[in-house]
Amino acid sequence: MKLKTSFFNCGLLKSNLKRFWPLYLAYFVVLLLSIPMSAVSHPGVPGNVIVDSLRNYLDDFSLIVTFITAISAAMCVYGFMYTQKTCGMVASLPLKRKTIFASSACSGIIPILIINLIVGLITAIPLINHPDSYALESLCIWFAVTSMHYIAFFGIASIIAVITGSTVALPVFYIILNFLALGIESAIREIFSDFIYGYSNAMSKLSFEFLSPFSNMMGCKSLSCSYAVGSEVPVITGVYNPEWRTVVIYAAVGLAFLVASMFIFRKRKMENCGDIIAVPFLRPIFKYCVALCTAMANGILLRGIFGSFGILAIDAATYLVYIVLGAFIGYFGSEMLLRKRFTVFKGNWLGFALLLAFCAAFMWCCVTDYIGIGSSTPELGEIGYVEISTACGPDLLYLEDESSVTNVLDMNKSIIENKDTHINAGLEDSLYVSIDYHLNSGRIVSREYQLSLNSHDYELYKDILSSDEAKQYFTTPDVAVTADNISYCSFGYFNASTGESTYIDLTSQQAADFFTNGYTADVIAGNLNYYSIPDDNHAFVEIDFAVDENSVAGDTAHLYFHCYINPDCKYSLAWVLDNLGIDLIELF
Amino acid sequence: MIEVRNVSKEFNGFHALSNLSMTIPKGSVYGLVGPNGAGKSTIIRHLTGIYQPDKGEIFLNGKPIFENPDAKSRIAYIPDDIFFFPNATVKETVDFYRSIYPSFDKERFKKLGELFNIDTKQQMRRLSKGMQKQAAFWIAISLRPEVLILDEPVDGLDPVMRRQIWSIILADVAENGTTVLVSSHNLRELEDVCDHVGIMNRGRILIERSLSELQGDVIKVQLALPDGAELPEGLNILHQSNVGRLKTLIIRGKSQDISECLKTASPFFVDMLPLTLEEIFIYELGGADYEVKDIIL
Repeated sequence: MKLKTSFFNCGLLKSNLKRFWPLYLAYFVVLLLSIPMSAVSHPGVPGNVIVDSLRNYLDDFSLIVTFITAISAAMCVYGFMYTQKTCGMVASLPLKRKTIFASSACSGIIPILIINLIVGLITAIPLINHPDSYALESLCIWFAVTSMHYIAFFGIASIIAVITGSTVALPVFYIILNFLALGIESAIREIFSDFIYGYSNAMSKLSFEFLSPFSNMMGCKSLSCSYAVGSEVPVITGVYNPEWRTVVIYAAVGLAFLVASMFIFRKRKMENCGDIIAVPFLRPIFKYCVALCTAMANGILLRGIFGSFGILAIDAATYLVYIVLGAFIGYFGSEMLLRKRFTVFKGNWLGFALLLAFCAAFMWCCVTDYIGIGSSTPELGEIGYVEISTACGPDLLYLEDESSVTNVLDMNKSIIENKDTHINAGLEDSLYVSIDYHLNSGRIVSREYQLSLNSHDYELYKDILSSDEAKQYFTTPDVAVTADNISYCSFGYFNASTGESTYIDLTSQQAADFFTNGYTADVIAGNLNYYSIPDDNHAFVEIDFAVDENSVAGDTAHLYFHCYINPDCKYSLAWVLDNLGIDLIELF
Repeated sequence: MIEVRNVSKEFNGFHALSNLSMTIPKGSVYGLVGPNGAGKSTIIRHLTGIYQPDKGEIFLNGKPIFENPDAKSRIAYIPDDIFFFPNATVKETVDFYRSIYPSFDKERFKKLGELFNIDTKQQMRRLSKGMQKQAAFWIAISLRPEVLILDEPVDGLDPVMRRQIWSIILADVAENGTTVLVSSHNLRELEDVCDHVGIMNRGRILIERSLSELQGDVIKVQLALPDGAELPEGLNILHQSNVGRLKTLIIRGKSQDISECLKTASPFFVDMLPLTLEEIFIYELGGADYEVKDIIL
């Protein structure tokens, strides 16, 4: 009897559903408890409660549940590929390989989508008596986002499933590959920050985070709501998904991976089941990737343990030793995994030598800044705004005027030209300065230096922090400083001769008054600056503000900063004497 | 008819099959024999579409087997290590095969249930090895295959069950022209059921012939010669052993020619016996560097 060629086999699908029903049941129970049961257990308007449950699930649980479910489903439906018995059994069936794959993939996807639909319908039951279009819209957004997340992760799991021949390697590779790009880029940036003068890892947004889907999607808000202003009871006026493009793209990539997996499976050799990498041409790629990652990780780890030796040449040499050790472990370790034996050292040294040459070249490029990463600054036209650190007070000074930004760029270039001066200055004679250029493209270029206090560049730094824009920034924070907003303010001073510190809590009224008549007056007059590091005999004032925004939703914004009063701050000193009866001039 | 043409297969540098060619005639019971590591299971996995050859082709009735559902639906395969899904019961395994193979005969399955006394609610993994084999046969025969491929089929079965299974298989061969390929080390048993034999070693087929031709080509001769008499020239002696005056010779050739030749030595006694399959196996492979070694401990 001639069989019809079919893309899908019901027998295989039914068999998978019968065998893996516990997984689907577990997923169903988790969703049931997280959404409809959670909604029912909270009092309130059904529509609002449903929206809140959906939002909480998407914000707190959705990604991790989907991540785990996808890999679990993949291990189940593709598990036949990993033992000789089941591999032979399935491969000998009168089915084309694409049919086998498609049926397996469908048995991993369709039940989950159906469960999503069922849970959505159960969640919508209260809306029969209390119709709410926003709740329905939220349900649709939730269903779409959850399903697309799942397709994205299942697609990734599928391609890994056909590449590996080991059931243990599948989840390990899945977890690693979801964070690999993030890890590699972070490691490279960490090495750059250790060896390239001025390069900072602090604020840099990772360029390749999009290649680490789990990490990238963690930062995405899936369901946002807008509320009516001024209402005592929350009234939703709109729901939307602000990051739908990201989710759609990942889902599309997941589908593409599924299709690619099918093609790989068709060509896959069943005799490779049990191998760590079942696709022969990927084995060298796996080996070198593992070796490079292990090399970098070992370098960072051992440097973290043993620290820096303070001399660049010695640091670079020791770092190279750490990397070589890591490369050795990774290279031969992966070879042992691939060949499934320990005796792999014979005849395998040429590849290792090439790897060492690459590592040495990489270190040389970092130490000499061959590519010019550290010595480059962005173009003025590229920059949206700049954040520069202060010696005290607010962490970062925000500057966006073209003249201020130009001054920062000039100072930066001068620091690079005079780097020897700054490197040779001791810690006691230098000041830590960080500069973050926020580019119009969204990229952040970060630099950090130890600025010599005896250099011309320090004078440039003082000019920047004393500029009109800087004064404006220091005296007009984003959060309005009023007696109603201030939740905490403490005034403290340190007596170097007695070694005593004294703290006095100010009332909100006092704090607001001091901010206007003491602090702001001194900043505008140029008496109070943010570029001096206070010495042991200093007084300081801490002001903590809290303000309520969108009171209906309960969001809160905080502003916190502290500043140091010096003997030139006549307005602040006068205020302290008049209001607190403390003569700080005597103290100074 | 199954045709294997110049198939080669390599596993990590090891040549499991080297330009192997064989032909399994339709309706024959073909015994595939060979020492351990000869490549029997490997070629069988090619015949069932599990492996794809590096070189060469494999056909069933002129159509390639690999990735051909139509060809594979005509083949039932019982491996030495029975395939089944973990935790699947006998019934679930049957249902699975029934849903995949269109030729599954429900009536036959029911009838054979009287012979195979297996509780279908039991999990396959909980059955003994012999019972698993029985379950595998039960399902395979119910598929009504055109080709039945058996790898160490009766290993683990009790003598009564062996006989019953062979009787069913041979009845199928006789009535329906089912082609059977059997790989086994139990040559005594194969001799009773096979009509064709392929002897394999180091990834190649050394000899492939009908059993009657094979037995006709090599003769065991027992003779006693007069004192001082030598064996005549021109005999293709594969093996010789002496017990006193009695010589036992394994000679390749036609019995009539051998008899004529021996007469010239005027032996006291000559007896010509057909070789068993086991003896053919041993002496043929002896010529291929795989002989029985006499080891003195």
